[in-house]
Amino acid sequence: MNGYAGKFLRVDLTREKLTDEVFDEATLRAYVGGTGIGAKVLYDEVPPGVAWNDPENRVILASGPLGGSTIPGSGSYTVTTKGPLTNGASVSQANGFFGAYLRFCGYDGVIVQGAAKRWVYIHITENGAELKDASHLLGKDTWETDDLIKGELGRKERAMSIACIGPAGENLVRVAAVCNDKGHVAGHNGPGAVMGSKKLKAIAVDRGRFRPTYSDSKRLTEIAKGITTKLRGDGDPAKATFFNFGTLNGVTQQAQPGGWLPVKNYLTQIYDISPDDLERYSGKYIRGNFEPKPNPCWACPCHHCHMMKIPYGPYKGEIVEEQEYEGFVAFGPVTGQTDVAATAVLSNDVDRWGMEVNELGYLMGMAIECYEKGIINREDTDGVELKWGNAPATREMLRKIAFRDGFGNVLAEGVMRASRLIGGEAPNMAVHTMKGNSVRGHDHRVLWVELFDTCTSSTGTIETHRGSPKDQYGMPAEMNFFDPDNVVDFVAKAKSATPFSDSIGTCRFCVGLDTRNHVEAVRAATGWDFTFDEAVGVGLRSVNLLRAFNLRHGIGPELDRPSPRYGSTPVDGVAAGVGIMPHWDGMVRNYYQQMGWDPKTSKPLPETLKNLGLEQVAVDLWG
Amino acid sequence: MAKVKLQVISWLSRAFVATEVNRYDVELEVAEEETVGALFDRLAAENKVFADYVFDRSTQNLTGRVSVFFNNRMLELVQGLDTEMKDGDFILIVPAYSGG
Repeated sequence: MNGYAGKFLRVDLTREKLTDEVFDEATLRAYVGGTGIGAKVLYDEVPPGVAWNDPENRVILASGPLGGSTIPGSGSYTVTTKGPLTNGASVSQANGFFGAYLRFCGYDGVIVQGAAKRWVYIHITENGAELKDASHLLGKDTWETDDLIKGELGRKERAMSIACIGPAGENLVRVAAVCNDKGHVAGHNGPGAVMGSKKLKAIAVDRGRFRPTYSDSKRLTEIAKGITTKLRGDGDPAKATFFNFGTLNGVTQQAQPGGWLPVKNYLTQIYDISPDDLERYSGKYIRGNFEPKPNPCWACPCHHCHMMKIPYGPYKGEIVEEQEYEGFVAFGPVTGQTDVAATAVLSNDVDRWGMEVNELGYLMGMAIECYEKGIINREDTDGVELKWGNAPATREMLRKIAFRDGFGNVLAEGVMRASRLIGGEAPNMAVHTMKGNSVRGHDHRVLWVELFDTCTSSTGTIETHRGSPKDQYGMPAEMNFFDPDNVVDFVAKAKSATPFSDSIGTCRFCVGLDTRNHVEAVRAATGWDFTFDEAVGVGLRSVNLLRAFNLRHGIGPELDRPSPRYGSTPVDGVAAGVGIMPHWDGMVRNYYQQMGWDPKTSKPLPETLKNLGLEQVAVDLWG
Repeated sequence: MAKVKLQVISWLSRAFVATEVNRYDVELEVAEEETVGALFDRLAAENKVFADYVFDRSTQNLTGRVSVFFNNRMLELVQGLDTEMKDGDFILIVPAYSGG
């Protein structure tokens, strides 16, 4: 079948059985890959009553029909599972090479079930797959694991891609991530902990020689060239900024001047930093001083990912992977840090221990605020002085979290649970949704689309994206996103774009979120007469499946809300005094209605499900 | 007449200078009580980059590609494009947010 490698690898760790599995064409057309297939397998195979750490939970790692093609950024993949922060669906993407190499071994994805009796890793080649002993890898961080597996299998750096967990995943830390290719992370809602619960340390994939066939390779190449041209900035300087600097300028050229930088755990939006120190957060400074060596993802033309060397200070000489904006924010302003070198080291530590950087930022932010306010003291923290901007203390606490050592064992439970364990006023300081996941690296109190979407999402992170072109849904280019109706309109109408994009096996930074372009690429790859409406259906199928999954697993509409701090009214900054919560209940009702869900229970209505071909889900929910 | 200060960030500086700079400041003369929308319409009429990325003359609205701040307040939270200017006001234009 054009566009597909043609099979998935199913790994039953309990029975130590590895089999190939084929999805029929109708199923692939309805779910495409990545998030779509992940949502289907999760819903179909993980019934209510199966906990996140139950062997019957599944971990699905899937590319899509564009994976490993010439389309820029087509090394991406999605990890889907039931996660430990929300006890509901967990859906995350990572870039790098893993998705492409899976396809080069003849697999569109991997479905893992069961739990191993001893620690193992999976080695996938173009001739099949096998389980290998991983006991010697225990305690190794994600970079060490990468090196050790490649070493023992005799693979050079780019001859293999490895998705693995670090100590955090081994120790069932709820914010543990799946990391690949030294610095690429699928981490929202703790998928690394699920891998750890299965005693699965890594999945190592050879760069095989198999190549999927495409219906119209010439057209696909034209589309790839068009994407590259746009990335290079032809006609769009904004895109050239990303091409040249990745997300490095996010702090200095967007969030700081725009006023949506989250500072000191959402206490303020004013980043108290000198102009010189702020300039060091810019792409220009980092590229000019950190000795960057290009480390691009599969088929990516951008000057984005690099390996870098810390140029000054106590961490001088340490090698780090160029952090994304999210990392710079989590260990910069969120934790009161103003030294970009410390920020780079701390966020890199999070990657190496195998954790999710947004979660760790708000975890540390909450813990530091508690310490500064006397809710916890040195005795509680095992002598670690948790002060704003104290990099050595933060570094030590990150290690303690990864190993569940002392106070780290409390924080390893994630922001919501840790704040409740600390008690007192701590729950009022914690930034998270009431489902239990924390949030991304912007102050969403001035970005209501993101706040509303994060709280009503079923994935453990955002489900919609403001970058989705509005005209493809008939919305005007400019909308006032402090108008509650506009916020809901956008979140509901643009709902399908992100899950569809995450189903085709490409990087969102590279290909954007214009579904019309994605449809063209899918048509060229598969030969299907695939339509825009079908793509919307793929996205909505995923959204409704995950909502149904969460409802059946006990996550009701009462949890579609922010924590007190996350939903608080900003006390300063560009929207001081303007809060979303007075509008919240009405917004949620409006959203459910627009999504075709029951206004009280949020259950997708039978008609909504039937229109998406999800008749069985309607039976499951409604009888 | 009144004078207002306009600051643009990063690639938007190309609307005013040949070589991109991180931040560009310009002082503009406006009529007393002229609205931000009227000013932007004037700028878009004479400046293609501004028209492409900031203000769409055909819709008389922002393009959706920028965030605008008026005296350190989001423009939406003042009176939007109908906001009237006076001497000493400060307008900041930042490339639209993208990400999570």
